[in-house]
Amino acid sequence: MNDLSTARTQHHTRSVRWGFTWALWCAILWGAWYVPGTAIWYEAPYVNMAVDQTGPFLMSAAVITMFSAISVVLWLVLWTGVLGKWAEFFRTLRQLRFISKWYFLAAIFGGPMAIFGSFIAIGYVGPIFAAIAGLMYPIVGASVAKLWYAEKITRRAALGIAIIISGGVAVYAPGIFAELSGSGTGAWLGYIGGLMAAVGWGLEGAVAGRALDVTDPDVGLPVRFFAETLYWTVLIVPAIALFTDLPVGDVIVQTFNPWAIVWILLAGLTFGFCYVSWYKAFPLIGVGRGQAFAALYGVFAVIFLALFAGQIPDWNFVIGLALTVFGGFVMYTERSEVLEVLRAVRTHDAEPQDQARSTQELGI
Amino acid sequence: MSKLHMKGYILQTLKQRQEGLWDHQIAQQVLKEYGLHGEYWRGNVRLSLTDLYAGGLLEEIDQALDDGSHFGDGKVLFKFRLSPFGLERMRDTGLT
Repeated sequence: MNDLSTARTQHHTRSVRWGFTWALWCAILWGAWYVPGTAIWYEAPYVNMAVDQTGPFLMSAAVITMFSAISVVLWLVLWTGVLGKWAEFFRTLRQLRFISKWYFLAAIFGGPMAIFGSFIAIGYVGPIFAAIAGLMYPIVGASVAKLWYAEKITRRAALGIAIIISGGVAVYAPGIFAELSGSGTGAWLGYIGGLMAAVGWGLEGAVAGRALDVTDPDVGLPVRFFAETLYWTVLIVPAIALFTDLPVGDVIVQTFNPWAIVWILLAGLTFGFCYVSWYKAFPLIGVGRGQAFAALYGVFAVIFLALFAGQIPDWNFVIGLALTVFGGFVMYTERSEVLEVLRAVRTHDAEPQDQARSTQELGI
Repeated sequence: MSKLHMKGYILQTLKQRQEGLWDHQIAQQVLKEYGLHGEYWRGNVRLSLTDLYAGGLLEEIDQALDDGSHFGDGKVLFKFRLSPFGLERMRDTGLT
C-alpha cells in the first residue's frame, strides 16, 4: 500500500511539474515573440509608416496581425500533423454550437483585441511598454470570474490586484502625464493598445477555459487560431480595403519581402508554441496559476529585447515589471501546496467547499 | 467511429458507467472506438484523463499498482467516475 501511495503521489507531482514546465515555456516563447514582433515594424513596407498618420498606421497593425495569425496557423498545421490529431481537430471544430463557439469567441478577444492591441502598443510606444502593459491581464480575468460566475475575490487576490494596478500606474503614468502636459509623442493609441492587450488576454483565458475543460488543448488552439485567421482574412482586412482609401492591397503585396516574411514566420513560431504551452498548462495547474506563471514573459521580454534589440527599459518600466509579476504571484499562490485537483467542485462525497483560492480557477 | 471528439466520448462513456471505469479500460474502449493503436494513443488517453481529473470533471475512486500489463510496471492505475461538476460541464457543452 505504501508503494501505491508513493507511486500515486509521484504521478500527481509529475503532472503538476509538467504543468509548470509548460507555463515556463510559454513565458520564454511569449517574451521572445516581442523581438520579431518589434522587428517587423522596421521592415518595408511598415518602416515607412509614420505614427502621426493614424489611418495607415492602424491599417499596418491590422495587416501585421493578419499575417501573424496566418503564420501561427501554418506552424499549428504542422504541429497538429506531427501529433496525428487532424481527425480530432475536425471532430472538435464540428461541435460549433456548444464547444468550438467558445474558441471562436476567445479568438475575438485574443486576436483583434489583444494581439492587434499589442502591435499598436509596440508601434506607437515600444515593445517594453507593450509587454508590461499586457501583464495587467490577470485583473481582467478575476473581474470576469466575479461578474460572470459570481465568485468572490479573496482578500489575497484583492491585494494582488492592488499591486498589479500600482505596477500599471508606474508603467502608464509618466507617459500619460507627458501627453497631458503636451510634451509627449502623441502615443495615445499606443496606450489604448496596451489596455486592449490586457483586457483581451484576460477575457480570452476566461472564455477559452470553458471549452478547454472538455476538449484536447492540442486541437483547441488550432481551432482558436483558425477562427482568428478567418476574422482577419474574410472580415476585417477586406472591410478596411472596401470601406477606406487605405492602400491595403499594396501593403499586403509589399510584405512579401524576405525579411518581413522571416520576422512574420518567427513571430508565428514563437507565439504559436507559446500558446500551445499556455493551453497545455491550464488543465494541469489551473488557469490562474498558468496565467500567473506565464506572466514571467514580461521578464523574458525585457531580457530578449535588451539582448537582441539593444532596448534598455526605463526605470518606471522596471518598477512596473517587478510589481505586476509580484502581484500576479500574490494573487494566485494562495496556498503553499499545489493541489492535485485544481477546483473546489461538488463531488459525490461532499458538498462544495468555500473557495479560498484563486477566483479564476473556478468555473473558467 | 464516434463523431464526438475524444474527451467528449470519454465523458459520455463514464456517464453511462456510474460505478466508474479503470483508466486502462477507458483507453482500450477509446482506441477501439477511434480505430487507433499503440502506446502513443494509450498515453494520450491517460493524459486526457489527467486533464479531466485535474479540472474536477472526474473523481478518482480507486487506485492500483500496474504489474506491467497495462501502462508499465510500477505505474499507478486509476479508477474514475464522472463528478457532479463534470455532469454540469457536460450539460453546458451539449454533451448530454
